[in-house]
Amino acid sequence: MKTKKGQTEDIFADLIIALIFIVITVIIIGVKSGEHEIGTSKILASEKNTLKNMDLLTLLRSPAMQVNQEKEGLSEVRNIDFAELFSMVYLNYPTEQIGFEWLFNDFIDRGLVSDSLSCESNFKDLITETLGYTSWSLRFYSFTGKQIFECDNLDNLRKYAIANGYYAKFNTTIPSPQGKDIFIEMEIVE
Amino acid sequence: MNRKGVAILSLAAIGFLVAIVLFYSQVDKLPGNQKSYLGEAEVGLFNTYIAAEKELLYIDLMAEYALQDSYEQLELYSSKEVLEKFQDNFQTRLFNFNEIYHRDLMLEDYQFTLDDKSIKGISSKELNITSDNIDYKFKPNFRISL
Repeated sequence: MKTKKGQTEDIFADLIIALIFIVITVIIIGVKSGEHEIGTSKILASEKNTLKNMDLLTLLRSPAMQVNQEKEGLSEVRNIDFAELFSMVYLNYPTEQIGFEWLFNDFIDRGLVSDSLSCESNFKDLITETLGYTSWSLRFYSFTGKQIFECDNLDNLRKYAIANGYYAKFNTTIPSPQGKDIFIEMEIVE
Repeated sequence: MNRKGVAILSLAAIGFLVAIVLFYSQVDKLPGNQKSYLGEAEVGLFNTYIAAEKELLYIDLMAEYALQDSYEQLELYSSKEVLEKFQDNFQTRLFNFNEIYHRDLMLEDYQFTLDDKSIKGISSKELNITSDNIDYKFKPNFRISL
């Protein structure tokens, strides 16, 4: 028969062992949950990028403006989407706008074009309104990789992005009326 | 507590601990479908869909510009002439598409129809994008307004 002190020591020893088991169990579960959480958060970030990538395509298919096109003596209203607007980047006014005089004159009236597609406030406002993001940047490259156009509504976008949160970069290629391809790269910050 | 009780309790506790360790270390290696994080498969599907959408956007614009080229090249034209010229221009531009997206689409893969308002291009060939667990097939059809 143990003394009261002996019984207390036994209970204390059991409690210590139980506590060690609990701590080990919690650590194992914690480590595994942590691994899963990191994986899931990567997927969540990836999901967001994926959906924003969809938004770049939506932007390219969105109507940028309505213009009046003269055709066979008749005037008809036509939607110009952003992909068509961007693909005008190779055209220069007034020498190389063959077949697009009607469109160029309209662009000039709207302040979107000076001698070629220009990064002016009207152009920026048009994209910002459609896209709805506070900050974006657009870069166009020719098929040789040479940058042919650049426009953004914020300086040092990447630096700002690192300090302020969500940042993503997307790209796609579109054809132009001249048959030269345009590689479009877009960055956004939220 | 007697010695027998302590022994049984200790065995049960150690067994419980081993079971937990085994469960968490082996749960990823269980047979069956490939395991993925929540939403991973959906992201893969969306990315595949977006890749296909990029190609379809290119084809739509390409057809649009091929038609504009045709109008520029013809002084006076009949519908038949527009369609013929359009096919020539479309074929030229298909070369660029095939190069960018590593495809082998030919003019012969398309059936073109012309009505008062539009030209339709129906492809007999399917394009596909494959990745892990996804095989996405789509037809590069288009319709452009005259």
